[in-house]
Parts: sequence; C-alpha cells; structure tokens
Amino acid sequence: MVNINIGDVMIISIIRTIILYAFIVLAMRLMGKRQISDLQPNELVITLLISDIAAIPMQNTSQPLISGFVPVLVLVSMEITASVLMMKLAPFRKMICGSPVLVISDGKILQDQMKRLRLTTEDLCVQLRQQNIFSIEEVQYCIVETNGSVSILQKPEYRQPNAQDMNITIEDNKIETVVINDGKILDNSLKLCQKTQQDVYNILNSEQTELNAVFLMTLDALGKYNIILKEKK
Amino acid sequence: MRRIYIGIIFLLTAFSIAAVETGLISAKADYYISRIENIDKYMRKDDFQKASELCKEVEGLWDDSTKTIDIFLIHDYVDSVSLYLTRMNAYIENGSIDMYFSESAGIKKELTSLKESELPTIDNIL
Repeated sequence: MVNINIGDVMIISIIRTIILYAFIVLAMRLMGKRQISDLQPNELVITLLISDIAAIPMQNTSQPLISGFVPVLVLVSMEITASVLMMKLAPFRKMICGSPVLVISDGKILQDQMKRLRLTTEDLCVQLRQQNIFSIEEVQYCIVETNGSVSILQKPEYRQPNAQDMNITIEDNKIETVVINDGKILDNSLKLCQKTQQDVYNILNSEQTELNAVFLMTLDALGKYNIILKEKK
Repeated sequence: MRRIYIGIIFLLTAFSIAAVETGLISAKADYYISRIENIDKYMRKDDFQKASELCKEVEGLWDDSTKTIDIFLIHDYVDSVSLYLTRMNAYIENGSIDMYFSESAGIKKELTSLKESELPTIDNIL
C-alpha cells in the first residue's frame, strides 16, 4: 500500500461511502420495497447485516472495499433466493416467517396463543388503539401477522356500514391523483387517472391560469379537479 | 424471474471474486516464498552481493504486486510483508546473518499465513 496521509484517508473514506451507498441502495432496491415495520424476519436480518458489513470498509480504509462488496452480493442473492423459495414452497415460507396467529376469536382472548407469542395484554391494547379500537369488547377477531402487525375484524355492531349495506350507489371516480406538482405535469399520474396532458391544459385554460403558476393540481377520471396556486412572494 | 437471475449472477460474481483472490494470494505467496528461499541460499554461502541484488529485486516486485494484492487483502498485512523485505535488505547490507534469517523466517511465516488464511478450510471457517 502506498503511503497515505490523514487527508487522503478522509477522501478515500468519502469515495468509498459514495460507492457503497449507491451499491447498497441498488441492492435494497433489488430486494424489493418494504418498510422497516413490514419486514419479515429474514428481511430484517439481511438489512441489519448489510448495514453492518458495509460500515466496516467505510470506516477502516485499511480494509479492502471488495471485502464489503462480496458479502453484500452473497446476502442479496441469498435474500432473492429465499424470497423465490418462499413464493414457491409454502412449508419453507412457514419455516422462515411463521404463521399468522389468532389471539382474539369471537371476542374471546386466547390466552395460550398470547403466551406462545409472549404478547402481553398491554402490547395487544397498544396495537388495538393504533387501529382506533379502544375496547377489546369491539373486537371479534384479532390476528398477529407474521411481520408482527395486527389485523382486526370488529364485531358487526361496531363495524361502519358501507354503501352496499346501505343499498346506495356511489359514482366510481376511479383514483384522484396529483397531476401537477410545483408547475410540472406528472405523466405517470395522468395515466392513473386516464387523462392526457391536453385535458390538463384545457382545464388550466378554462381556469385562466398557467402551468407555472400551479402549486398542486389533482384530477380524477370523471374530470373533477382541484387547483392550488403558488403563493405570491 | 428476472430477480432470480440477478441473484444467481451476484452469487457467481461473489464466488468468482473469491476464487480469483484465493488463487492470486496463493500463487503470490508461493512465488515470494521460493524467491526468499533463493536469497537464503546465497546468504548461507555468504554471497551478500548476490543476496542483496535478489532481495532488492524481490522488494521491487512485491511493491509492484501490492497494487493488485491491496484490492483483496487487508492493507496492514501487505505493509507488514513490505517492512520485512526492507529489514531483510538492511541486514544483508550490514552482514547481520542471524538477524537476516530471523526476518526471513518471519516473512515466510507471514506469507504462509496469508496463503493459508484464504483457504476455505474448516478451521478458517470456524
């Protein structure tokens, strides 16, 4: 290794950090989109390991950069293989992720299952409150999912009636999307609401405003829109 | 399905890098050990002139090959071999035979260790 002074070490560290950042973002992107709270056990392990492995060559310039790359490559390929196997083989998925567990059935807390999950009633109540349920009485079924989140079905008397229950017809306006953000048309959003740029310009003309003056514009398939203009400085 | 191919490519890349590293370090270690043993022979014959020439040559070759070896090995290990070679050369020029052989044994042990630590043996894995 050539003689390196402290300034060079810092530059090497910066360059390595940029390279590893780009590489890890790419690796995580390949593994798929998930929020930390939605991670399955294997995904959480991989995330923790990758962050740990990548940090070593970033901090220690004596460590070859390749010693960070190779384990990340192996971990990503293992994760991709595991996710494919989990998709194809149910027993493998069950072994890695476990199964959803019913903890409230017909309004009755299943204490054995709670003990098995080492889940306290306080933990359960917290999860229920986060779903806007403040009394266990309201719950008919409660399932602890494999990623630790809780799914709840309320008792019929506490459920909100929907349009079908009330026998009413609601006009389908598809999806309302943001079509202009800070003076720029978002083509992907236009596709979602089945509109074209020309439709947007027609609306802007009818409102006698220009594209650059629009801070936010939402539009749905029925042509219902909402425009918020930029504040004048 | 595209992702599984990417996964396989990543795994093959990792194995290829590992194989290249193991092969390269093993070959380099064997080569330098044999070159150092050659210097030892001249030292035993008290041919300091020839030993010094060879040692300088080995030192130059090692310095050139560090550019490749540094990609794979912890730089401190590579630097340690460079230091051994520098000290060996100094002892040859001073005629300190005992000190030279002490350094020679040290560098051969270091190179053997570098080579053996790369091999996927049970003890290394554990």
